[in-house]
Amino acid sequence: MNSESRRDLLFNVLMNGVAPLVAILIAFAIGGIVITSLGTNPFAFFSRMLSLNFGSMRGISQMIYRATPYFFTAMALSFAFKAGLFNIGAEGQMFVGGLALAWVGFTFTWLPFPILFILCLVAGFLGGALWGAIPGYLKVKRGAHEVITTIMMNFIAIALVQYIVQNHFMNPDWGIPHTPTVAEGAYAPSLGKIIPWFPAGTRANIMFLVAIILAGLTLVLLQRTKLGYEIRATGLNPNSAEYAGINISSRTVMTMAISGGFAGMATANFILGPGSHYFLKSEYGGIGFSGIAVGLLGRNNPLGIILAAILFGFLENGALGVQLYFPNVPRQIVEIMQAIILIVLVIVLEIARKFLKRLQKRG
Amino acid sequence: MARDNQIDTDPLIRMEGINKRFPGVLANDSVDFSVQEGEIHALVGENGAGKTTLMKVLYGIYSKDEGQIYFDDKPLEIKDPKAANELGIGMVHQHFMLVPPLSVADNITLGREIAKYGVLDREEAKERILELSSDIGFEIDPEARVEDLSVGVRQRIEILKVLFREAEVLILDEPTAVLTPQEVESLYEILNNLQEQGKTIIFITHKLNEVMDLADRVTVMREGKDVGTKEVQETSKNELANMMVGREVLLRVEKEEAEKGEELIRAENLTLKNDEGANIVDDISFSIREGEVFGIAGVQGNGQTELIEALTGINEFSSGTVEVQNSDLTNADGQVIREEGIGHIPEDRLDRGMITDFTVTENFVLGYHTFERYSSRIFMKLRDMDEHAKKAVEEFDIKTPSTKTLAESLSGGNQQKLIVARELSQQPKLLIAAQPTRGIDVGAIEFVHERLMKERARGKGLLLVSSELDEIISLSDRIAVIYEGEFIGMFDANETSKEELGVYMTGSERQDKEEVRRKALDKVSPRE
Amino acid sequence: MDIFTISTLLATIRMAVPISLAALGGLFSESTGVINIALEGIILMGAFAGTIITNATGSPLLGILMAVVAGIGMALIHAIASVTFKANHIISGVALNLFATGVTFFLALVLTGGSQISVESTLPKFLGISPVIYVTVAIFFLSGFFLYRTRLGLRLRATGEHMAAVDSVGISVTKMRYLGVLISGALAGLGGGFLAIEQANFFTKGMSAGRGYIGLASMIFGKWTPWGAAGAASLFGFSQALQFRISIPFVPDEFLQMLPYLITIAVLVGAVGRATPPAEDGNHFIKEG
Repeated sequence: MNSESRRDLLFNVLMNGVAPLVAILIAFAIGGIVITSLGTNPFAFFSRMLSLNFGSMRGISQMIYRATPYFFTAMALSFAFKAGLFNIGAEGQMFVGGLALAWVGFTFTWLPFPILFILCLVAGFLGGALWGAIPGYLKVKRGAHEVITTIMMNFIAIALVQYIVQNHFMNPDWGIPHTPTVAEGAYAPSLGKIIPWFPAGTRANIMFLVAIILAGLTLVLLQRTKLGYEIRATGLNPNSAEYAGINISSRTVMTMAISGGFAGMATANFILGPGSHYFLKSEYGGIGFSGIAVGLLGRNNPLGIILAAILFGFLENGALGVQLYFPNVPRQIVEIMQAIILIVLVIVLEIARKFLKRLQKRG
Repeated sequence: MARDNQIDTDPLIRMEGINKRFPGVLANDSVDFSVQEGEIHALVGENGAGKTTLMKVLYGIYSKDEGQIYFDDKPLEIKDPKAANELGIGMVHQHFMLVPPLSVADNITLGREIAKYGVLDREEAKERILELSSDIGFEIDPEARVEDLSVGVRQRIEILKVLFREAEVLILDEPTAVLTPQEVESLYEILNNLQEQGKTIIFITHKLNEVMDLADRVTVMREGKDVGTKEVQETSKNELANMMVGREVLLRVEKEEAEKGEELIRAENLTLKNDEGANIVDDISFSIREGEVFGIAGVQGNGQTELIEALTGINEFSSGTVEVQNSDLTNADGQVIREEGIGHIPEDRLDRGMITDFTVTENFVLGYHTFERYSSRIFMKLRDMDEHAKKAVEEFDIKTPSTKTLAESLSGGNQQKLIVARELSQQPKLLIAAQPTRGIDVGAIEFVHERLMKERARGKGLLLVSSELDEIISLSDRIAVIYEGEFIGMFDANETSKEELGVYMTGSERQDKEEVRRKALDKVSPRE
Repeated sequence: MDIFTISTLLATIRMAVPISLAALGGLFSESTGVINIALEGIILMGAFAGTIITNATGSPLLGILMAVVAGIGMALIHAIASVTFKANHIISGVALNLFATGVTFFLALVLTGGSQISVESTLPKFLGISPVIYVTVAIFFLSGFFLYRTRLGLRLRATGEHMAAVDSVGISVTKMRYLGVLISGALAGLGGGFLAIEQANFFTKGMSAGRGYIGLASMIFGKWTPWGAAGAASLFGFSQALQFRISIPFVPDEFLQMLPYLITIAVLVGAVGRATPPAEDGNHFIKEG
């Protein structure tokens, strides 16, 4: 092996393997310290979490159910990253897409499965895509930085969605504002129905498979298609992309749209999957922002993101279950750990980068 | 003038055996350099020779890897610019270190503010600055905002900033690179004034005229090493030029008599305006035939980049026409232009010509990625791409571990070869090459020159833009000199010299406009 | 319907205090080129710390002080991550916001068993107005003076515009950035303390409710000047005050909620005058050599 490919390997191992692991370990260590300070044995706590998640197929399904939406909001961040764009707007794109897909689901009720189900996903994608494309367009046409505009669009989306649900779809008898329920044709089948070893009636549903398929398709799109080549070129060096005759503006808007589209499908897991079957805004808050952590932890790679999403699903599902056993440890402990993972990760990545640079300088 | 009797005294600053490494480059290779008190000392060399690095070591911006600096014969470490300032060393950077939205006074005093209990005394600062500027003979408004001022004035602010810190030694990095001729004149005056006040001045340049006009002594650097220090009165431009390039400057490429064929491209009345409405490219016309090299000589920043980028679809002309073998390509899309058989080697290798985080193969198709041989409607033909790239790597002798290696790990010369390989592999009828050999080693230069001449012999046309006059003269058939966006002289490469072109490049002479246009369009006589 | 009453005015001022302090905090941070979207989490932390300490000591003054300290603590993490370790400023901010949401909720449950903690302010009011409001006004005057008339202010602003220039005259970019970020934490923390102790008289999970982002919006709408930010924060405070007081026919509350964000986008696209952020916003200082 020559020195360059050895360096590439080292780079990959450090940045994509060691750094995320160190971040996760530190988060668990800090979490453990906090748990200890509450008088609970952290090993008992975490091993209970482990068995709750991995001890049974039901646990695994629950974990997958919690993990699925994170994949979509994380992909929103990471796909935009490939084109050098920073989409902080997954939260808003998720709400707009979610409302769109619910609307299709309870409006075109006569359509059968899987037509309505697919139409719902398309609507979710388009809703999110629209909300993502707007900041893209504003950046291209008016130079408005997408970080700020996507943040602002989040809050606009939250207010807008609330307004629409409350004033147009809500039945005053329901108490909490939500949309009507989607028709059966839109239901996302439980994994128990498709894969024999999953328990019947589990809430983990086909959206997880959709996520895996989308991860694969995204890899193909980026690595093997002309559009992917142009998106990556634009992200890596817009000046060179311009030289190569690539229409940077259109690629920017398109990337933001696809990115938003991913986020737009995030709530399908909840709305179309087994459960209430309606759009309930308060249930989804924060998944867009946490997606940022998941995307970075997955190192912006679709396969890595699946793993990172599962970790977040693990923490969340574990936290819900473990409360029965350790009621003195509030489940928000995992939110703290998720935040710590993110902040430690960015620091560790920088340390790794510095280390590699010094190595390169020496040899 | 203090010129004659200072050489034997001990130098004020002495740098010995300075080594400075960057990843993959030895930027300073045991360099010795010394400066006498009160002299104007020029530091010359080609781009990348290590002049700026050496001065940044002296000014404490870079830490040296090896070597010793003596100031007044005392060995010392200069660990940061602050330490340099305390020794009385100041530096005027090539990229100005000014904060645009702040006032002139705030910029000059920044870091040494005049303040009472932390509250700025702007009146006092204003007075001090007015005093200082009148001392060296110019006027300045301390309350003006820097962003509203011209480049020339900003440079004066930089000089004032250094003087305000009571610097006795001023380092100026390519001070004239950004100035108009008038501004250069007044800079000369300022520097001479400063010398009369006893200041020591080191200036970095690659323009030999400036050395002859201004300096007492000159040190030449080449490829990271110092190749000698001369008294300006005892040397000549030719000698210095030879020292700079390390080989006979009149290196001529073997060039057969060209078999001129059909007209390939005809460009007429090309004009390009910037946002302010000024003509960056000003009414340029030319034509190039098969088997012909049309050279454009000029000082950087006279509209060459804009001309080429508009010809290749990156930018747009405001008016004028471009015809390539009777099809109108004025402001055509970059892809269309490539399909018409026009290749482009851009002047900025890293920020136009390639994507360093792409693999060799991916870079090899950059710009041609939509061509049928590399992609279908949706998918890239990865295997075909790689095969073509492998062939080119072999043919053009590009040193790379594999075609899957990222371009960033290639050396500059091999990166440039990759770009040349890409453009020539598409068999263009016309190749537009800007600074095709900038910043690459001699071996790679020769290789690129040979390949370009081979294309000419095959009947391809070449539009060559270069600021290296040797390159222009030895490769071109006809040469246009561009100055402030205009062609102001047309020459036959066999009948001109560097000296002649040099005079035109500075705009000090110009030919008749109609005559230039006629020659550039290759019309033998006005009546044809 | 009369919306311009004294009580609306007072409500506007109360609403505007946390927003304007966040805006000023954002301004201090960005004047050194560090984007601080952690303002949201800092407000939350300030609110929580202020509540807990007020209840523990019985002194709202100590509570407010603790809110400031908590804000500085959060800001310190932001500075370590984004200045020392050159993390992306936005990511660091997002992480801190997630952290604050989790940790305040967590601690509220651990310490009190519930997610809402009431707190009583015993600070004397002057003319019926909380002293913190007077302090806020004073802070704005001082900040204007500090940023534009003092040596340190000049250095802070220069850092946000051209780090290399600042470094080249021997000023530590890192120190300036830490200073800017820490001041921003202190201010937003104060805003949070006011919000819980003086305004709401309780702490509840997620009570910052976008105020940090509205502060950011105010800073942008105010074109990165203290008085602009104060003006914008007052406008947004007014629109918040309206939401809680009356319903205006044909204008749903949600549209008033959107207002700050819509205006910010309008400013960013140049529809309401152009605003230029500090040139070094979001950049990292990488020393040569």
